[in-house]
Amino acid sequence: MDGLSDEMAGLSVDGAGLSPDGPGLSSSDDETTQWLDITQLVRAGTAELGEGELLRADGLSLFDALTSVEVMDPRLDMGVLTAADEAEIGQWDVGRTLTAAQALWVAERAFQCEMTWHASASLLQTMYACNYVTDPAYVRLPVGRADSPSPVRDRVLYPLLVAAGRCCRRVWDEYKMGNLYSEEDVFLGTAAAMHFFDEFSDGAALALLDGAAAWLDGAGGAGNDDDDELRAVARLRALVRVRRRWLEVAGALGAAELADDPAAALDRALQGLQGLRTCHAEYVAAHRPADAAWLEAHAVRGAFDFKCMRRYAATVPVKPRALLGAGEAHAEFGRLARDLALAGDLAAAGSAEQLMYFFLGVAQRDSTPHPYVRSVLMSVLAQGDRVQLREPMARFASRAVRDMAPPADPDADAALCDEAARLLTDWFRTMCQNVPRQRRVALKSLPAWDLLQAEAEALDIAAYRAAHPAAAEDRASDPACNPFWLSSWAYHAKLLLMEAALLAGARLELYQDYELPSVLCYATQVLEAHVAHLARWADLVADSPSAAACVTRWHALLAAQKDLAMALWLAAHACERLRIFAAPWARGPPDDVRRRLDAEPARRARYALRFRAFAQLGSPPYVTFESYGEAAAQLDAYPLAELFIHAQAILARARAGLDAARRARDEASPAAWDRLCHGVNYAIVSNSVALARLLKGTALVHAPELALSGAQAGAHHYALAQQQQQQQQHADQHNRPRPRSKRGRKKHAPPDHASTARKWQSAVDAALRDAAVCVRWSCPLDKGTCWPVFSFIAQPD
Amino acid sequence: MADKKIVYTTYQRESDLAPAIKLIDQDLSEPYSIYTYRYFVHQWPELCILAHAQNKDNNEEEKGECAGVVICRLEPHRRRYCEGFFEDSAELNRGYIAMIAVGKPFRKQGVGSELVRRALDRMREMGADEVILEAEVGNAAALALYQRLGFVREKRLYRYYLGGMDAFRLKLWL
Repeated sequence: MDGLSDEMAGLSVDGAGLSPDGPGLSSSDDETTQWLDITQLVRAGTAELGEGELLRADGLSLFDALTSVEVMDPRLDMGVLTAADEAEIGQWDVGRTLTAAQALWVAERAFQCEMTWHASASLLQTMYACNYVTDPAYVRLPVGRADSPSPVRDRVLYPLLVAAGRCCRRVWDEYKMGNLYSEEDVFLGTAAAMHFFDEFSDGAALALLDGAAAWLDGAGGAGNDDDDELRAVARLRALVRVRRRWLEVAGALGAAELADDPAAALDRALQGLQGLRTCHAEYVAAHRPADAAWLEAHAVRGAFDFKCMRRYAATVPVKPRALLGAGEAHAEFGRLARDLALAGDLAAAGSAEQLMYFFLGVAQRDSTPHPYVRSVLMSVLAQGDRVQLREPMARFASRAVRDMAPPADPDADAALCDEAARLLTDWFRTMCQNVPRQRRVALKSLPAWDLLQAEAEALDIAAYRAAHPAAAEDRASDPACNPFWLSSWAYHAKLLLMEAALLAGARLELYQDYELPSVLCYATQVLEAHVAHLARWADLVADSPSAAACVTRWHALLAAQKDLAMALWLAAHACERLRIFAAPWARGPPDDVRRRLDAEPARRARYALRFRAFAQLGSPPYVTFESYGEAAAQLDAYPLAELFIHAQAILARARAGLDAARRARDEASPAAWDRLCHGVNYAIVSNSVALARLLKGTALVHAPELALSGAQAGAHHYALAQQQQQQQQHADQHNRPRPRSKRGRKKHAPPDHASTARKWQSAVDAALRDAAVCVRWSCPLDKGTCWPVFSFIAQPD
Repeated sequence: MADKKIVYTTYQRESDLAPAIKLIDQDLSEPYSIYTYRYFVHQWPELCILAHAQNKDNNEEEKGECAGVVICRLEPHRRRYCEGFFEDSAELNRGYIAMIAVGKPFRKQGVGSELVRRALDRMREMGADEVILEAEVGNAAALALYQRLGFVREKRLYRYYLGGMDAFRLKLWL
């Protein structure tokens, strides 16, 4: 322990030494720093300036301006000391003897600091605020000694803080893998020479924790009649268990451990994780609402210095951040521990296909997983040249392609597989980013997939020529002759990426109501292209059972989604015609604003904003602004009721299609596939119910004769009228004489379904037009779907 | 506020800034330094528009209470990307609405909309092609205001604000 104080004294951030002198600007940042008083120089230089006049360097950017700090403004200047801060600093007593309740308060507050750091705050305003972590004078004390004057402080709190430091080191090392984005996901502003009790190994820290547990079980708990102390000892005991498990898990997930023996390390981590979740849940469950006040009554004044930034003069200042509350911190930790189990699912995936299901599922989770979890997932996915810590990337991609395109020539596509492996792992990594970034990166990476597809097409043509030297030249590029194995796979992956990007916009609430018809129209077109592609592909791989199963599975799921998109498009288009989805400016601003925003250039620009990323792709064909206008005009030819009814019918078909997708699930990865199907199913069922309610509800409110039975009868007549019409067309086509009734024989006149249906349609149209129908839509992420779910509310007059 | 009229002026002098800063500090979650404000008002004083509440019978020299403020900038942007929309434009001039605030007693009277509209008009006169801004995801009132004026949600920015909230980047083509 003797060396510890020197280590702590040498604690440095960006080369700035930790001042051993306590508060105040450090005079010992490094040996070469010389401080110069420039007060007079500044006064002289600014003597001619009037109030508010500004000297501004040309290079001062908007970013510089927005991130500038005003010295002595407590909202901006991390170092400014308020009277309350001064009072707190004056209370720091390094030699104070702590009770168990006080030690628990410090440990809990340090835990809040740790979790706030995880939430993208600086270490200097979180962990390093704890004087028991940073004050060399404390570290010089005889910690861990049996004759310590403050045993609970030195034999329990200290091991807890050392272990917390080790956990932070593990998390920091993971963050340094470069998987995440600084400040967006984590705070990496002061990366140099961070100190996390590095003089201790994880094993030493665990031994200290074991010692703490033993002391709490023995001397710490014995002979103490104070209820507060007994309560605190029990909670400290639980906290030691949590910390021990957490350090074990984080240690097992370290890069070196995973590289050394991936299977064993992951196994250890997952086993530890189970224990960690149990321990932590018990710790949280034992916490009663009154505990917060009780614990606060045992606060140790001066133990935390949240203005410690001023001691690190050479560090770029950060703006103050509020600490997470105790409840928030534990909730955040609970989520972290829960989501870390994903690493096990990832490692268990046996093929690229299963990884695809897994990552699509991760991307659709209701909340972005904790940054540490996301980074661990990325590290387990790909490190160096290995995927899932076991398989070389090229072989992985080659397998990925052959899972769905079996006859590819193994020699012809080696270079392509390298590129495919890179793109595929990049895509999976993208799915681990926060959702806004997922969408942006997905859109940016589409051209690379397009290029891969083009290269694959060239390889496919070369392979065809090699296999069919006698075939005519033009047959090689004819899809009817050439299976286009490799490029089919690349096209499939590109289309999945496009669909994910389109849906991510809905999930992120980027699309406004009036944009929904165009977005759903586009999604329908992409999914239609995808389904057609898979249908052709399914024929090609019919002889290969595993590939056929894979293609058929995707086909069923995507066909259901295509139907879902089309049904929602029809409903959204009808809502637009009903003026429910009118643009916000249509109701408010003056005419000149409305005219400008409704003018074609503005509409075209808004359309381009959403879909321009698809315009540069070789396939599928870009749905131009004009094409969308034509498609919308075609829908305008239908009565409103027909649009809604047709949407309902398509949703019913989607549901049947999804049942097929569920039956075709991948038995090697059933849970991941079921999750994907579940989200789509929720959207289909919810939208079906919403549409049924709309027709029933508006009819009930505005046209009692169109109540449920009427609506059903109307729909029935509508279906019969359609059937009649088809029969008529069929008969006309084949020029068959129609049967005539015998003269003089009285017959019931056949029901005029068409007439009834027309009447019903126009009545529903009128009811819908008059109804002040309110429509809301959202993506219920907690149900595992990124698809919009409509909610129609018929507002009474 | 029936006895008050709202008068709009552009930034004239340093003394205009203090009441504007006070309003913005009360309204926005993000703290800004005096340098941030000066960065804007010294370079684009015509794009700092203030709303003053004056007594109806007051003479014009008295500015009255600061009821609202909008602070913007306008600069050439490094790229132009909306195909077919700015075909005649040699370079893309991008406006940016940095801050807007309306005092509580003056809300729901169209002061915010008027401030933004005046800023947009001014930027249009100065040659702006498009205007962008960021708004907190949970700030429904601000989002509704901008959307009524034709702004589109271009992207979502994860943990954009110091408090960890997300922001929408909004965009309007002029």
